[in-house]
Amino acid sequence: MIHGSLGAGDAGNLRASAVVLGALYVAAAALSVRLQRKAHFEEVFANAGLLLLLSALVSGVLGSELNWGVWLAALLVAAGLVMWLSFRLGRSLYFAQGVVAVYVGLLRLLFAPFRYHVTGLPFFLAALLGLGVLVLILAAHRRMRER
Amino acid sequence: MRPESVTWERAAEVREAAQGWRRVEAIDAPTEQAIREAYPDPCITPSAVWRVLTAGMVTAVFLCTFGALLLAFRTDQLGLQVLMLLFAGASLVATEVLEVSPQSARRGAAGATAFWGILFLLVGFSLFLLDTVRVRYDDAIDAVLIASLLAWAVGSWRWGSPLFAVLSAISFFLFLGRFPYGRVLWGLIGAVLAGLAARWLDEASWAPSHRRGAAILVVAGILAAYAVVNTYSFDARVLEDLGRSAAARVAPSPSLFVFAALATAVVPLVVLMWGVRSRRTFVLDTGVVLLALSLVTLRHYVHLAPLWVILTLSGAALVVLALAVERALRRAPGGEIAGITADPLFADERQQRALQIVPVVAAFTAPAAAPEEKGFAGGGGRFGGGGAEEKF
Repeated sequence: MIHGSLGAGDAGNLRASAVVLGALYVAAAALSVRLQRKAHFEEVFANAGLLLLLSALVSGVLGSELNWGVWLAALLVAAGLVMWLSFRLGRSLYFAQGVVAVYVGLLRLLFAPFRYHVTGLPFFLAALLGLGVLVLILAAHRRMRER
Repeated sequence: MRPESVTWERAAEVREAAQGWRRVEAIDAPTEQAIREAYPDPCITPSAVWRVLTAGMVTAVFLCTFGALLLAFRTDQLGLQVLMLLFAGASLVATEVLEVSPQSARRGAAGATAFWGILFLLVGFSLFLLDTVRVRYDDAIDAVLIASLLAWAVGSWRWGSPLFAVLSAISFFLFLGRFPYGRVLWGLIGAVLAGLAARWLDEASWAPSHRRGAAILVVAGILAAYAVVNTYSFDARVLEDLGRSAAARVAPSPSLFVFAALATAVVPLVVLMWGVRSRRTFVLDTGVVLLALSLVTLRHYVHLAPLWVILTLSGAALVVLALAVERALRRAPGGEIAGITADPLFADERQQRALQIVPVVAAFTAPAAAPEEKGFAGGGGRFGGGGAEEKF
């Protein structure tokens, strides 16, 4: 059933569908709160939408051979926006999805220059990036007012 | 566990309970405040999302650092073992340091370092046995399972992690399965373990996380006993496959097979009855899971309908049953039947909300809202006469 639902295996089409559907769900979440129509569905719409949207962008970064830089730029913009908005709204789960997406996306940037060299440097840089993200998490937790 | 950690944990439990009592208005705000002052908790306890996020990032840092050093030194087998054991030691020391401080004890980082520390210790030990000492493969598996049982058990006792108790129990039963009469041992020791651990569920001298560990052992014992008698497990020789390759195999007799079929049906019901009588939700949950497994087993041998139809119908039947029971309880005199009510427990709703995320997103339904208390609501009124008018 899952195999069939994912289509004939065209990753590009699936990715594009996930981006559009994810954006629609996020928009539905925003509208449900703004219009006070089924506002209790906000978390469901937003979490599903962010999962689809950010997963598709991360998949673009990790799966594309040629234009992964474009996907990475889109991911950084989208995830940065998600983190900023979720911080202001006090939504820790949205924030966490943004953080994970940014970290995984940046791993491609760190490992790409060392594609043909066996070296520990990208792992070291990834560990340093992880430490930076940990500091960000601690700072965000201290300042965010969760709702 | 360190005495300070136990004290913090007890205080956190009491404060959480007080929060629940306040939420359902069993106590008023001053009482809750008095409880909070009587049980100070210096620890910072983020929500589950923050803890998982922190643990995930600590894991990434740990594994990336290990990968960096591994590639930098380009070690041989012995070097890999030494590096793994060094990382294990460093992680365990880091866990102790993090656990000491109330600022960092409950952020998720200590759990991640403890987990990777023990795992690297076990993998390093396995490599040492196989590559350096060159122990026979079967002997190495036995030794590693014993080490795993002990390491996770000590970790669970020291840091109070329920996950470590689960891993320790899994190692224990896998080790028992290595013996020629593994199935018998699983049944006997599973039943004994469940019975013994159940005695410690309310032991006041134990830390709350140790009592949770006891609950996990109860569930592990029940699951092991069920695995012994489940028909499919008998038929497919699931437990016998855990044993050493040289172990003799004997086909089960037809009478044993009939006994297993009966037990597959009866054991879940017995567990459900135990859960109802003991008022323990985790035993009830275990019974429900076993019942579902028994239905799947039945479907395997009696082809009534496709598996997805059986599962869907079973789920729907459970929902209908839950609704019927709740309605019956609400309509009963005093909202209670034999000491059981439908009123919400004073449980931590944050944990419940965190658990709701996955099924809610998967099923696209709104999270269940807490029922509103039907208390008195003054709608306002008027009195007066002869031109007098007042509103209250």
